[in-house]
Amino acid sequence: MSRERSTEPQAPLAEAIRREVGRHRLDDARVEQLLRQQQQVLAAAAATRTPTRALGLRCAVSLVALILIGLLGWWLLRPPGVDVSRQIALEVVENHLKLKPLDVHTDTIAGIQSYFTQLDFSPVASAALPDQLAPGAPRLLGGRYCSIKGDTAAQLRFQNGAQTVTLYQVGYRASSFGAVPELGDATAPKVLFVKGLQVSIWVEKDLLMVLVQKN
Amino acid sequence: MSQPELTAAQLQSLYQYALVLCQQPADASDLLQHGVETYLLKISRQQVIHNPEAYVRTVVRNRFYDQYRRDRRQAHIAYEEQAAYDISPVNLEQLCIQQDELQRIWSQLAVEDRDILYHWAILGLSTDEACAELGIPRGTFLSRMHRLKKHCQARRASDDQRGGGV
Repeated sequence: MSRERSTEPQAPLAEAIRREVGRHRLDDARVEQLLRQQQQVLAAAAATRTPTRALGLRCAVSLVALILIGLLGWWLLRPPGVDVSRQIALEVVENHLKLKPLDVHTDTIAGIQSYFTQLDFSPVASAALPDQLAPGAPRLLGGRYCSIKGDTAAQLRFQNGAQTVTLYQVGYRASSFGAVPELGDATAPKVLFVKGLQVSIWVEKDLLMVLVQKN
Repeated sequence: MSQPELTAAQLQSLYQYALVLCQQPADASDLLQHGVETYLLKISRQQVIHNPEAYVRTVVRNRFYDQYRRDRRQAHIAYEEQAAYDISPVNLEQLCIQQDELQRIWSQLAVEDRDILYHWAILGLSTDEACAELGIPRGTFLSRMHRLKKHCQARRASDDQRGGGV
């Protein structure tokens, strides 16, 4: 079957795109509805912005801001220490105990890396992991997204013999996570015990690693 | 400072952008609704959005890509070829195309390519600026645009052959 040759002249790509995009339009009734919604919200927002109320509101906001600045300064100047590690440990133990369904089932770190595209770091195979576990051949089961102190992290789950262990990875920042031993410094990971579980914390390849396993 | 308002023209433009991304009118309408509601929620809390159109466009884009990654929808790229990677540069400003041909292939482009082309053709950014704005590697985009150009040239050559002698 022959195709009829088009006689339409060519146009610059940008112009053709503008025409293609511009030929689709939202119906006017829908546009009017959205504009009405906007007007209602603007009117309501303006009504609450009375002068005396605004002045009182500004004073209250200023006072709250001063208090928050003071608290923030105290918090920033206070050196992160063991209590930060305990906060991290409490958070990961909660995740470990809940063991929510995996986002991805894979037994390779490549599978983990290709799935976790919304992290600002790349998960790695930890060279220190075998040393931290009871003797056995840990088998990677998969991973899921989680967070540590507000930063998006990856939870990797392993089967090591009869127990399931979880390894958390997140980009390391000393300001958030405190001083943590770094792999390669001939120092052992920081170890804490939370709710009967052993939590090991270390830094490896610029990532904070947190391992949770039975004691 | 008073809150700038979205105009009817801007709402149309935002709908068209949503449609560039999702290629489905109903989905585009939902994306726009979500973007506008997010913007209205901000201003109802006495926050001032200095550029509502840009703000809503960002909300629409983020919402779309969140859903797109979650659903793992992949746009069908009909013109992908198995040829080796070609690093020849392509100047988009010099590319010409027939309107009906663009209409045919527009929905087949990768959504990221449509997004960049939108920012280039409609918003007036350079391709480098668009790639940087959207976090898409420039080399990836340029190689795909080069294949698009070759595809269009091949189709035109094929049309010329079929038309010859009639």
